[in-house]
Amino acid sequence: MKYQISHLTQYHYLQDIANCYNLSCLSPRKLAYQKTRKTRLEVSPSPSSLYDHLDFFGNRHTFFHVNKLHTQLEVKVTSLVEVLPRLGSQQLEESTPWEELLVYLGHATDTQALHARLLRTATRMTPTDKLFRDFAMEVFEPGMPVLEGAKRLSHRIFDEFTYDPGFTTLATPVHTVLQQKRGVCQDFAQLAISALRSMGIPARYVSGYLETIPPPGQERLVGADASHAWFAVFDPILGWVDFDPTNDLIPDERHITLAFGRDYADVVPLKGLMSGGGQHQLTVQVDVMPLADSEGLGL
Amino acid sequence: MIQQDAPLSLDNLTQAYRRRAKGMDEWLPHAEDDSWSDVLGWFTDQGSDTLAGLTADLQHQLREHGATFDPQRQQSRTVDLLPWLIDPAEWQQLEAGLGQRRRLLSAVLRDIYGPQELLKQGILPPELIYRNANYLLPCHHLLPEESEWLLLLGCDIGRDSAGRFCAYGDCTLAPGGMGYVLENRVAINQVIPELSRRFQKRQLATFFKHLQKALVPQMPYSSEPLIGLMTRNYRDRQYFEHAFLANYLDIALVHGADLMYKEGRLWLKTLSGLQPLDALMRYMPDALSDPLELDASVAGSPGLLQCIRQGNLLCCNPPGVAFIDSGALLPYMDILCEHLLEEELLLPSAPAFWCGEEKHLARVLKQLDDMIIHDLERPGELIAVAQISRSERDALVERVNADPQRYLARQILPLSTLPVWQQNELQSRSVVLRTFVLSQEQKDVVMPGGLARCHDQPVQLQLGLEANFMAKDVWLQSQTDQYISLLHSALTSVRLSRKAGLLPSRVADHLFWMGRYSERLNLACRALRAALPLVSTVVKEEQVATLTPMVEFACTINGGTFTTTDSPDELTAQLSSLFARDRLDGLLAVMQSLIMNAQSVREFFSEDTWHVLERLQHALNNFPAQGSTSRMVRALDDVILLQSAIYGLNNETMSRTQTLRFMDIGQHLERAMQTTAMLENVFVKYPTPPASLMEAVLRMADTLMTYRRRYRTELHPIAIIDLLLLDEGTPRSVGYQCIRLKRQVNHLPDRDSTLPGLNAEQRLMVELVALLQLVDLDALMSEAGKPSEQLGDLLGRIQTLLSQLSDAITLAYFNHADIPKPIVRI
Repeated sequence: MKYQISHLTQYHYLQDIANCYNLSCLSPRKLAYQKTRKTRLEVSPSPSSLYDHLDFFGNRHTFFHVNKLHTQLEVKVTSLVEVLPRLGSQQLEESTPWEELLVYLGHATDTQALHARLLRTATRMTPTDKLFRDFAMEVFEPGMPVLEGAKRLSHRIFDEFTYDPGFTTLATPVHTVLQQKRGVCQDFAQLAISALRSMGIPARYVSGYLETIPPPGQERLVGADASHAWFAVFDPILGWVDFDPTNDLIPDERHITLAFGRDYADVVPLKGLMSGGGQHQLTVQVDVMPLADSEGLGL
Repeated sequence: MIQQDAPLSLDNLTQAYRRRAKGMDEWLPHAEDDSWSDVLGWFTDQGSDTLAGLTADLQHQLREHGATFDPQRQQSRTVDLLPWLIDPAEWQQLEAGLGQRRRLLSAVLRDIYGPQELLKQGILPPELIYRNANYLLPCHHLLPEESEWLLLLGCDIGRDSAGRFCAYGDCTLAPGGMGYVLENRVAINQVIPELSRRFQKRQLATFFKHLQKALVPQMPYSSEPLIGLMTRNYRDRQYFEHAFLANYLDIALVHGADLMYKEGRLWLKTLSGLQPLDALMRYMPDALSDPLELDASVAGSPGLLQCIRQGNLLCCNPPGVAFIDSGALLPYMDILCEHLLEEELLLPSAPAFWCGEEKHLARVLKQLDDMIIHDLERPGELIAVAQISRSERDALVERVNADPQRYLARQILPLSTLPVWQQNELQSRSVVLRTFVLSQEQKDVVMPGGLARCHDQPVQLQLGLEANFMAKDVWLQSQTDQYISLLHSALTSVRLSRKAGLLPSRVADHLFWMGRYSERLNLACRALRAALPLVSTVVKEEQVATLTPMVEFACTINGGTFTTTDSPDELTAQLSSLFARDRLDGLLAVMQSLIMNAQSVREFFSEDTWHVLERLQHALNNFPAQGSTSRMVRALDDVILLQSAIYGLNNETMSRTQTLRFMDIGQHLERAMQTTAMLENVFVKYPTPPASLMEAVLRMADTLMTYRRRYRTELHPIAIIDLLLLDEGTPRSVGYQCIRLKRQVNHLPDRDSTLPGLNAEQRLMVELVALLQLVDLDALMSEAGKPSEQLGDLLGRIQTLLSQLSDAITLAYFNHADIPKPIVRI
């Protein structure tokens, strides 16, 4: 599938802002199953500095500094991507039994395994403990292929948890999510990650978009899409395989990947610091527009 | 028993010490060496009384230097009179070992924040790094590939059971103690100059000169590079050491709020605008250094990482280094050295074990009581197992068994002992040494000496710098070193950062407000002192109204409220409630604001000023608000006297640059504003002031005598207005404040000298001074002898202009001091 994505963020301030520092992570990354063309980032008022760098995982982050008085900041990112069908996602039962995976990771030190070992370390947003472990162990049977278990875990979250945008904020601990069984996509992703890592299974946080399909007979609403998040689990042979617990899906051509990391904090789509200003209002508009197959992306 | 005053016998002292010293000793094997005999010979010649006096002098010197001052006043450091003489041959070996250690750790950092070959090849277990809270992913590839990551290393050493020096801790993040070493040396030189001169020792200044050079980047922005020492804030336990060090190295002491990223560089926000910073000596936790890319914090500076990434800031040391300080590498130093440097490790590490390796876990659990446990997820939290209770120990074992990868165990070193001069004898204490090594032009330079710490419990010394300890100066014999002092030498290539124009905006802001709050407190106390006796003599209710202006002034001086009343008791109650602790507009709140601003720029005030500030705070906290009027007045007398002391001290001790100027402007601006407000209260709001009130006004303004001398008449409103508003010769008049402010404003640093004419502050002052000078005194009084409407208009206009002046100064000089806040918290 080919998409044109536009992601518009607007901040309105009550008073003048003299200085504003931002870090964005909004360029879809290249992957075996995702082709990208250079993302366009437009900032208004125009920044006095703007630099890109790649992080540890290879995600692109853009640092920019707006250094003139403004009461409104607009960040518009436009990108073109083509998402290909993924190999491997059909073969979950062929993945490594999870106990074997743990043994393997005890000694493997190739680049891929090292990443996996890093991604089973707890972080502030994805802590590990017995509660999470128990939560995961209820679906992982002995000898079960790790991706099969991950799929069940994803399904369990979808099944037992309520999608409730009003309940959590970015600061809600994943413990609360587990307790109250409510949250949004990033809560569910981070809960799954905490649960898997508590078992010693490598899991990573994926930030991206999901193409929304309008109900039959209705027009697609422009700008009604949103950022999305899910998780991925490591298998030594199949590599990283994605799971979307919010929709009980195995991501495929409709999931567009921006970046991945240990947790949300590694790949915040847009974060900033400002001086002055006081209160502000934030609006975000995301539009994931499918393009006809015939439309060339110049890829 | 040793006889007082009698010369001491070295033989007796030595024999007594020999009986006490158990295990390895630093002195006894060298007791016959010339250097030790010389030093101890001098000691015994002095006699015990002299030595006791010198010891007291030494502690006094340290206090004078402000070394022992810390905000919590919990730490008390002392220095022993007797130095530690380290054998030059052994020191040479140690130097080689320390240089190698720095090179090795720098290479480890280069690899871990780069290709991670050490993990891929199985030299280091990945979880040892990954689980380390101070391993920071955003710091990957922060420096170009071949860079030197570790410019400065602090290394803690002590003797192992074989008597070898052994490293038991590394300090890459803000290695504390360098300032202490300097202070100790300076104090020792002052207290025992004769002995100190006689002993040809290697000079510390050489090391600091190298440090200065190491901080100058290869391609500085200008020929006079600007270097900052970044500290967290004044609440930092080590703040005073940072201030001392910055002063000695002649670099700017900066907070995160003083810095600003712009166009690829980091700038220092100063009174003369933004100045590009070339290098930063970072004394701030890694994760707090950059709130945009690392943890949200107000201490750091957004863009710091970006600036380093762009190669425009030399950082000593760069963020990310601190995972080394957790001790994680201690067990692997031998193999790392062989692997990375292809050399044998010269300075061994204390035996340490990562519990993540099964065979090591078993050993750790077996020898648990000999261990100090490090938690990799909570760096700095060290637990000496021998010091905890049985149940705490059980809980610890459970935690370690449940998650062994998280813990590292370090065997406690037995340590050697050395003599300290205590209670007229040589007592034996365990000793450790914090050493410092830096890299300058590809050379490793080791500080000749270091911070030696003594304690009677070896474990205590191995838990960090926090514990109370006795320090020792370390002397290394030398024939070659010349005496070099940074304080008086032109050897430095670093430009003076304390030039007036380079005063950080934040500092000027605090000084300005310190001046304002200090004056506000003073005026409030003076108003109370004048008002209290008046109120207490009132018997009839109709008299109350005549005193109201003064009471109202006192109550509203810090923005508080006043309720009109007929009851004298209620007036008194309103006055005494100004001392209530929970009143946000009360006197204690003013005092708190004063202290807060003073603490934020602590390095500008002398130790004496702090003593007085403390006494002032004490006096206000214990104010007899419920007591008799005369007791309250006496207490106010004390407070006012203490304030004059602060004023005098600041004038005596603060350098006559912009520092004092901003405080002076704050003080006189406040005095002008409040005096205007008081005149308005007394003569405009309540137009028929009785004589007792007018007398109180003059008393409050300390001008009653002047008035009597000058007018020799009874009190008349217009004469008082002349004296307190217009007369430029009366130090408490508004006219005098305006003349003084005008002069000070003209001396403020030029913001943009290319613009012709006067700036906003200057224009306001010209207008104010002219306004007062052109007043027609007669027009201020109506024919009935009452103040006219014009007086109200005049006072109102003065107040408007004064607050415009305050705004103009804030906009021009302090606006930079704003700290960026998060837009979206994560």
